[in-house]
This record gives sequence, C-alpha cells and structure tokens, in this order.
Amino acid sequence: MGSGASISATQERASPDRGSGWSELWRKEDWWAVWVGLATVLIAYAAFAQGTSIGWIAVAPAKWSSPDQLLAQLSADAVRYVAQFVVFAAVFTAALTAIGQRPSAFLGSFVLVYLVSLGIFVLGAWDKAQTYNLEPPLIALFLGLLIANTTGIPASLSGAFRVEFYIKLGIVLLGATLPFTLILWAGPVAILQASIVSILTFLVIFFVARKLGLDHRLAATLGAGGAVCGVSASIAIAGAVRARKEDPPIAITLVVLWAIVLIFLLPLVARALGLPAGVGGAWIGTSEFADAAGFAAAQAYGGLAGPETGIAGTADQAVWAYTLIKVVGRDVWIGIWALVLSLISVTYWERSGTGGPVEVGQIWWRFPKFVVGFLLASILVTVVTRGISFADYNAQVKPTLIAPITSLRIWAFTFSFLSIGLTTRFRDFAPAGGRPAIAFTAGVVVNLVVGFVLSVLVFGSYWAALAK
Amino acid sequence: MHFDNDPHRLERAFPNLSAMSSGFASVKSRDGLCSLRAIYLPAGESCCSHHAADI
Repeated sequence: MGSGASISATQERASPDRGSGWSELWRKEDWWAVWVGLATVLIAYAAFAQGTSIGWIAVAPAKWSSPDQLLAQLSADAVRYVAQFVVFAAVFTAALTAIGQRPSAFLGSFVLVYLVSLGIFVLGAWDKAQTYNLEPPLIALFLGLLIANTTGIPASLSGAFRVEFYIKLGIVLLGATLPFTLILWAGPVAILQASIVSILTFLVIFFVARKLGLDHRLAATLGAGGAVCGVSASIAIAGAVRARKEDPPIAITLVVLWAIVLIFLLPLVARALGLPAGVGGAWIGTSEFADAAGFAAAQAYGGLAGPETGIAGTADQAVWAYTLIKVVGRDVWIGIWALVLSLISVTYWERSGTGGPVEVGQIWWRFPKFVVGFLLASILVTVVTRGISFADYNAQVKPTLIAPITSLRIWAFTFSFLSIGLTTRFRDFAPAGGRPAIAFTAGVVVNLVVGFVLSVLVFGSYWAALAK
Repeated sequence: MHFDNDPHRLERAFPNLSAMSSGFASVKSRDGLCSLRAIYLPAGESCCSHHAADI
C-alpha cells in the first residue's frame, strides 16, 4: 500500500466543527440550565402576577435554636420537602437524560445529594452556626470531600454529582435576583478589572512554563486554567491548541487543588482583614478560577456579613460582586481566548498541521450559554418590576417573587458545592510534576496579589457600595 | 474509530474533570481525543497518523 493511500485510509475527520448545530439546544447542559432556570423564573412570575407565590415549593429550613424547634419545623414542612424533592428529581432527571445520562443512575444518587444537602441547610440555619464558623458552602464541600475520599462511594451512586449543571442553573436563577441596571452599571468596571488580571495571569503562567521548558500547548492549557475559568477554560484551550492527551489532566489536577485551597483560604483572609462583603466578593471573583469553587467562597463570605462579625454589607453584595467579575468579566471571553490561541497554535506551534482550519465560529460554540440565561432572567425580572416603588418592592416583590427564587438558587448551589467534594478524588489526580506546579502557582500568586490590589485598593469603594 | 468525543468517556479519561467542569459543557464544543496521535483536538480536525510507514 502506498504511503499516500495509507494516510488517507487512516484519516478520520468528523463533520466540520460547527458546534452541534441546533441539537446543542437539547444536548448541552448549559442550555438545559437555561431552560430549567428560565422556566422557573417564568412560573415564579406567573404565580406572582396571580397574587400568589412559588414559596410553598421553595421551602428551606428557617433559623432554629433548639432541637425541639427544629423537629417541629421539619414535621410541619415534611410534605413540602417531599414535594420539592419530587419536583427537583423529575426536572433534573428529564434534563440530564436528554444529555445522555441514564435516569436510574441519576435518581438513586440524587436521593443522597438531596438528603445530605438538607442536612447542610439545617446545620446552616442553626442560630449558633455563625459562632462556630459553620458556613453551609464550606460544610458541603468538606463533607463531600470526606465522603468521596474515605468511604469509596461506588460509581453507580455518582450519577447526580453534576457540579456544573447545578451551578449553571443557580447562576441563571441568580440573574433573576440581580437587577439588570446593576449589571450595566458595574459591568464595565468588572470587565476592566477581570481583563487586567486574566491577561497578566495568563502571561505569567505561560512564560514561566516556557522558561521551565514546558511545551507551548501545556503552557497555554495551564495559563487559561488560571486566567479564565479554571478546568473549563483548560479543557477548551486544550482542544483549541491541539494539546497532548496528558496535558489536560495536569491542568485539571493543579486547578482543582488550588481552587479547593482558595475556597477555604480567601474567606478566611478576607474576614481577618475585615473586608466589606462586596469587596471580599470582588477579590474572590478576581482570584478564584473555577465558577463553582468561587461561588462557594463568595457565598460563605457573604454569609459572614453582619453586626456579629463586623463585616459590612450584605450576603447579596458578596455574591453579586463575585458574579459580575467572574461571569461577566471573565467567563464570557473564553471563545476569544480559544480563537486567538488556536490561531497561534496552528500558525507557530503546530505547523505540521492537523488539517482543519481555525474556525471563528468557536467564539460562539464555546460561549458559556448559561450566561445567556443569566442575562435574560435579569432583564425579565428588571422589566416586570420596573415602576414599582421601593416600599412596594420590599413589601411584595421581595417576599413573593425574589425570596423563593433565591431559595431555589441556594439549593442548586448547595447541590453543586456538595458535588464538588463528592467528585474530587485525590487518588485520581494526575502526577502534575514540579515544573507545571511552579508555573501554575506563579499565576495563583499573581491572581491573588493583583486581585487584592484591584479589588481593595483601586476599586474598593466601588465594590463596597455595590447596590447600596 | 480513533477519534472519541463522547462526554462520558471523556470524563473517565480525564479524572476529576467533572469536579469543576463537565464533558457536557458548551465550552468543550465537540472536542475529543485522537487515540492515534494521542492528542486532544476539535471535531473538525483530522485524526490521522503522520507516520505512514507504521500503517
């Protein structure tokens, strides 16, 4: 067989990489987060417009101070919790089955996720929780890590550990509670701040990695993980630059390890420095790489705000500032990063070629679509509540429309934080090696220091006054 | 088949991927693993051997 014929005989090319066309709308979890999130917001609004509320199904434990009080509360709301579980299970099973999960694998696992999450909610609602630093996001993560790494939980019970689906759904729901006017007001500063840190962090990781002799493609994969949106960015850039098979696992190991360290470290340091909630949220948004990990840290820090700790601001400010920096300022640019690095890769690094053109369309194909849902939810609620006085908003809109959506969002986030722990297996980490670890850690230091300077010293008053 | 972009298999091939991301995410597009060349690449790329003599 001639060599030319041999090459063509073994050459495989899938259909041109135009995302997955319309099928993306029901095959990607991003879109399912959008559908489920927007449907929830629309149903909540429909109920509100009819003079009622979805509050009955959005039940969550209220503050309690004694076991008797807790028991009475849980007994009274037992039917609501059962109904809530059934609705969550039905909707999530439908969504995840559509993207290719087996329903039976999801359902059994979701019972575990729901019950442990309920336990975390209960602990977080204890009136002494703040005194003992029992922040629900951190408990969820810690408990998940403990279960996954000590009990040898079987793979058959992992069907519902879908970190990304839950966090994306939570972000869409969060959009409904974040005024669009605030996104317009704070968005430019968030984008400026995030861009400075992203570009600086990428360049530091990339050039330190190259200086240490690492391959261009690994350097870019590591750089994106630290600069844009963690593991998701690493995997997107690995594809864009045609990385070697062993590169993504190295980046995953370093991103996940550092992200977990920062989940605990950032709220701790921010508290020690007494940063206002909005400022702490902005710093976390600038310094954490992975969305879910950062939300855990930001929600934990927001939960500390109040007179007992002396931390100024509100829980919402921490989460909103984090969201603006992370989602609006960093996540949305992943397609641009992929396009630029893809061009550089085929032009300079991999000139021997893999055969395909660099497609500009990847800016959209790789776009994190849940951001569309986040923005639509924000616009929708902002439009339907315009013209309502501040007093009426607080008396009517907040308790019957915003509060139930917020409660469902916190449920979704808790499922996600618990799932981070449940899916992180320390024994499965790829051996990253010293040089990638040094390069990535250099980027972490830049993220932390520059993030602190921008969030606290340069834009501190701006983030402290967010939505005041 | 040398090219594989099935999300389930990708999550198994890259342990801990699902801890903070997902094989089903939009950012992944339709990228997959080319076992012939041991690289991770977009679906529109070719997954071919450049060592014709080995075939």
